[in-house]
Amino acid sequence: MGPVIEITGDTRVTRLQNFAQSRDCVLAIGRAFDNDIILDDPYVDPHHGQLLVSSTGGWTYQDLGSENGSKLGKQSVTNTAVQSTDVLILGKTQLQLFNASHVVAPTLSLHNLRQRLLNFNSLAATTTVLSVSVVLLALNMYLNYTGEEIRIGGLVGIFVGAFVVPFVIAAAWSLLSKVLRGRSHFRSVVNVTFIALMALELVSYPFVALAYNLPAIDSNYLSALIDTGIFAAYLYATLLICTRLSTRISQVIGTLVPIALFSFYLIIGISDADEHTNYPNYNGRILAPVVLIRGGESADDFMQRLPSVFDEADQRID
Amino acid sequence: MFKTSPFATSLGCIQRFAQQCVWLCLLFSTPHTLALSAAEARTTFERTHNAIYQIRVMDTAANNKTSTGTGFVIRSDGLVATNYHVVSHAVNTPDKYRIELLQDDEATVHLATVVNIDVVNDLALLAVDTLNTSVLTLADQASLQGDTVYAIGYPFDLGITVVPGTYNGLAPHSASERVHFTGSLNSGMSGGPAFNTQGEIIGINVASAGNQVSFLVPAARLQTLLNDTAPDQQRDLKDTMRQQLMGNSERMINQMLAGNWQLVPLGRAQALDEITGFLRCWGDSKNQQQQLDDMPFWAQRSCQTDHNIYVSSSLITGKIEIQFYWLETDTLNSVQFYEHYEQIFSSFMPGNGGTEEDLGRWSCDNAFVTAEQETTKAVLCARGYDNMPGLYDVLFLQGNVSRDREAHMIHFTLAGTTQEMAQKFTQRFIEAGAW
Repeated sequence: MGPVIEITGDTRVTRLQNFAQSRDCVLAIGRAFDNDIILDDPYVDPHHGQLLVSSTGGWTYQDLGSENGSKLGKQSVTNTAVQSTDVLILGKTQLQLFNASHVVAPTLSLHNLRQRLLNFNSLAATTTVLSVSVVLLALNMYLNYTGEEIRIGGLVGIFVGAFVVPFVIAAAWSLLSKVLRGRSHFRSVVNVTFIALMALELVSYPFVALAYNLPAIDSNYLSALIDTGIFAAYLYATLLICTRLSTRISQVIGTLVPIALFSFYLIIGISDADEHTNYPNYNGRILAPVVLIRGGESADDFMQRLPSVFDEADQRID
Repeated sequence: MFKTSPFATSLGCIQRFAQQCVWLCLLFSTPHTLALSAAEARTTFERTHNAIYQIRVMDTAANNKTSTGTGFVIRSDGLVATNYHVVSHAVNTPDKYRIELLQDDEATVHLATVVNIDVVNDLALLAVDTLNTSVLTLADQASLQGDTVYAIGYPFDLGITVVPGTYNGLAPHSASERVHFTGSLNSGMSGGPAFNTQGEIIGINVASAGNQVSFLVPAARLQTLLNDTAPDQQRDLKDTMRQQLMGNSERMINQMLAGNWQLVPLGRAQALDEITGFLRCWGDSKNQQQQLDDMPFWAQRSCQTDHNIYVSSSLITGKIEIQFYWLETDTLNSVQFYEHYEQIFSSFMPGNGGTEEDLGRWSCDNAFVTAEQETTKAVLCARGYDNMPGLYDVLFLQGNVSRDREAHMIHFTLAGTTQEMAQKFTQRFIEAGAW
């Protein structure tokens, strides 16, 4: 019985070739098109080697005197028996051979968040996430630019600073994962971290515009609550990726920790509210005219509300 | 992580051009060049020095002096006049301090208590039991500019001193009436008398702005306080102070309401001119010659009172400040411009300060208000006074939010005012239409 061969090229693209039906035959391997297994790798000879499948099902690999030779694992070989799961390296291409009866990993569930997160590690996803982050940061800096003198060093510093912190956080989670699960899952963690940061950033824009038009909801607590919610989701995701805790326990931790932090924030806010300060902490929010949807009230309406300001001031005398 | 560092500009801090009078500051006397009659000075001194005392405010726990000033006997029942700021410690925390009066020989120490104050004009009357000295008289005739004046007091701890100088009329534009005296007043002389050549009191030493520019409280203010002080009358000094502050705010705001509300241009907006005599305006703008950045151009006009009312070492009140701030850009886009505008709009501070013991916490309201086809954002904040109910500091701020790349902010602070006066003034200020 022939092998199933997983071929991984220089560009990390993987394909599978199935020879399970082949028996008592020779599989030619090389760059030339008359081979059974064609490897598109400039470091592979046109006729590099061959794999003998005996009638009993044993596999033997023979190098045909190639320029760069062949390896079984880390060992250079010219003629060797090959077992299931062994890796042959020809040029820069890897061939891993499996028995057809090799047990494959169980099916991932589309509904299992942990499995989805663990597999959210493609290079394409990371590239996209990082690119969008760069664009968002640039946009943010553009919108917040108020005419100061621009120094290239400063700009570079801001960019580096903005990206170092999330990478350090992701690395810390990865380290935890390496300890607890044996694999770092670095790319998954990086993706999730940057997505959380982008969420924090993107949520603020509509919220600010909304609060500007509806001052009733312009409470610092509400924006802190939204931030806490995003943090809770992030914590839950990283716990799933990096620890073996059950979904339920992750949910509990992902809820309790942000609640504790938010309570802490509330307590600080409440205790600071009693602090005397010479600075009147008024709502001074102002946005470009295009953002303001509602019209102004009349000066008389405003004047009529003033007595309540003085009443409240009377309450705030200690 | 995505926030760039904001370059906050605190408007409230722009006081570079504000002239502030300094409470008797540490100045060493400079030689005067006036040709004076030595005999006149000696006569005045000999006639009056028996009635002039050094006032020491003693910390009872430390049993030592914490501050000194000068006082003089003004009524035969033992009333001594001085500055309020000399004895303010004893008024605000009577349990912690006592007041002692003594003369150069330091032989006899008299104990005194505060019986009446005029916090607005910085005067206090002390009662002393056993004084057997002559009583000084207040001048009933006005002096003329150039008249010689002798100020007497106890500068630092150097003993009684005569300082000759010149009467230069009432200081114009002063928040409260003050005589401009050209002569060197120094720390410790506060509360001492200033005489004309007839030996009558024309004023009470109160403040110095350095280089012989000094100020006296006119004798007429002391006369008013004396008329208001019956012998053996017990009064609540805190409440007196509160009523005086309220009355003073009413006087000043009414004077402003009746003033000249003429508009003058500032950028493409308008600002108010000097509404009334005691408000002096100063201007400032961004220097465009040395412009190295794309920050918006600004021009501002700030008007304020020349001196404030001293209540205690931690509380100064009575300040009135009006400010106009024009902002425009031709390089930033609207979003960027408003980012900068918001930083300025959000960082206004009241022109006066105080500690937790004196002042309550701020209460604020804000709204979008339509004013002459402009949408504006208006903010009004008020805070009460801990020991003086009915007194407030009020901060008002309004800025237009309907122009893409230019803005105008108008602001006032009224320190130590009443709700009624603050609302009247706010109404008038909004109606003035300085857009």
